[in-house]
Amino acid sequence: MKNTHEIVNDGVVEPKRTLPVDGSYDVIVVGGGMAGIGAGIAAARSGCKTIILERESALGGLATLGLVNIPLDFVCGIGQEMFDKLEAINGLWHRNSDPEKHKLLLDRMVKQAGCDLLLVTHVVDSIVRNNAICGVVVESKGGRKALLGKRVIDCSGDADAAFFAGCECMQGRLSDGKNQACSLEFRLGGVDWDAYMNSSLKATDFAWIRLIEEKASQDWKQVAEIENHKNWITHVPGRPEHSRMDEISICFAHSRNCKPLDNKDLTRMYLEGREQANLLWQFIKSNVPGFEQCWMIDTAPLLGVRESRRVTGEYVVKGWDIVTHARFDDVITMSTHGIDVHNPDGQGNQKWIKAEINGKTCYPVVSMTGFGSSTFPPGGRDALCDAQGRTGKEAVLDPGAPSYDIPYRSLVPLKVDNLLVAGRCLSAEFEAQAGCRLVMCCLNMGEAAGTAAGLSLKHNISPRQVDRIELQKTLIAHGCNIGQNGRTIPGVTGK
Amino acid sequence: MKAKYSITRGCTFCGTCIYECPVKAISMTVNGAVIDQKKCTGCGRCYKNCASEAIEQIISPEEDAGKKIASE
Repeated sequence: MKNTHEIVNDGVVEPKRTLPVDGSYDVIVVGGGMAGIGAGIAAARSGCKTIILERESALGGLATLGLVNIPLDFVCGIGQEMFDKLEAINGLWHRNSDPEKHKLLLDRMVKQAGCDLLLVTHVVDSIVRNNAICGVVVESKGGRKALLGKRVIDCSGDADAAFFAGCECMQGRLSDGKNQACSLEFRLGGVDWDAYMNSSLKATDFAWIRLIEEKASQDWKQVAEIENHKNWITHVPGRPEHSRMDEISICFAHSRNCKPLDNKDLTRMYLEGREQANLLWQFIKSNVPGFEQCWMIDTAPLLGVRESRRVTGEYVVKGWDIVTHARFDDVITMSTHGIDVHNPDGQGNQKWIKAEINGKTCYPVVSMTGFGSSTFPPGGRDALCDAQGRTGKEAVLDPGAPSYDIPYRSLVPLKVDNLLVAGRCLSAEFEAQAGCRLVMCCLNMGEAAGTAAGLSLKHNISPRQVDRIELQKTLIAHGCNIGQNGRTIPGVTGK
Repeated sequence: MKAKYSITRGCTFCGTCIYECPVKAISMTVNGAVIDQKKCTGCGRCYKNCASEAIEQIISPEEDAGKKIASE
């Protein structure tokens, strides 16, 4: 009689076993999204034996598989190199990237950097000895195995490796733990972009708000319920190989009250996302000029999760830091994105935070970009204020897109050693994380983490002890922009 | 005078153009980003980096006049 497991009252008992070790590395990078790309390439180039472990079938994460082909935020270092290479293969148009060309390019860049890669390999546990991470456990078609690594960089987006290692993590907004809404993007082909751009709809109602309201009373009610904010369209122009027809990715679908770390709810969101996409693309085809001949190419293979877990690190970036355009001595990259919260349980996009200023409840924005919100606090638009609480004409709001720093300490988890994180799972408050999650910002964080891991190995010290001046000088030497031309970074620049 | 740029169609308040402009000619208002035509040098970095393609090239009066003469 064959018995593989014992079934007991509270579960199923797995037999104890020893996992084969599938490799020993200097640096293991968990996740091959944009943060993982930055980390893996940077670590490999600093001479570390490096591997990227990616759960999906391709690199790039949301930037490719999520169809979020809009690489915004600072372009420098490895990111600049990627942009140059993408442009050389006709894969970059304005700030929109071609997901297919991008995927192939990333395969090549990782290989050329001498970084190992395992796709369709899922990190399912962390190996910790003496409070330090020393490897991970993976599952794949080849079975359950261990990989040993002197340093691990968690670029999973969900802080999986950090969580498995026992690090303290945060999730959702402070009031109720709800996560930002998720979006399943979809892509349309056969679009006549010029016709759309020259249409009166584009000129007078570019976010389709009035169109959606008008059509809501004519069988398209559900579209109005899904709609969230100024819907993002990314455009890849028609080329000879596409019979000169344009391709558009659209961030329109929204799943709310989500649990992005629960496979049941992820399943719900994929099903809901595809139903929404099916409805939305037909709505667009029927109502938007230029889209009369379009078809749906695909829905994204990867759900756009904006926020799930954030690690608690040596420093927690606050929403207030972003509002005050914080400067940190240990800056490793910057962002100009500002607050950008997709409502967890309803419609709307929020580019302001709630704060106590001089004992009064206020709603500060980062700069004038805050007026791009689609929902407003009590008091409406007029309630938006500056960091001193001044509203209306008295508010002194930056007319630019001021940057704020991301400090190295927000990549360093507490408690567990030899571990770094990069990407959307950085150590940040809910509102702050919303302002640190753009594609290029994640890549830049990854480059910083990969470089830091290399330095920590070079000096045989913990990543926590890496000299931030040496890290910053190294990043600058690699073409990174950490604000060195605009201000003083003590020990690094003078200004 | 070089051709200049103007933000005309569907600014999404991302602020990328403001960062990209080398002469700080762009600022954000409640209605979106605006390019100061006096400061604009026509380099086109804003246009190239606007993911929403909200920026258009404006033909300068001289170029426009040049075109008119050519077609008459």
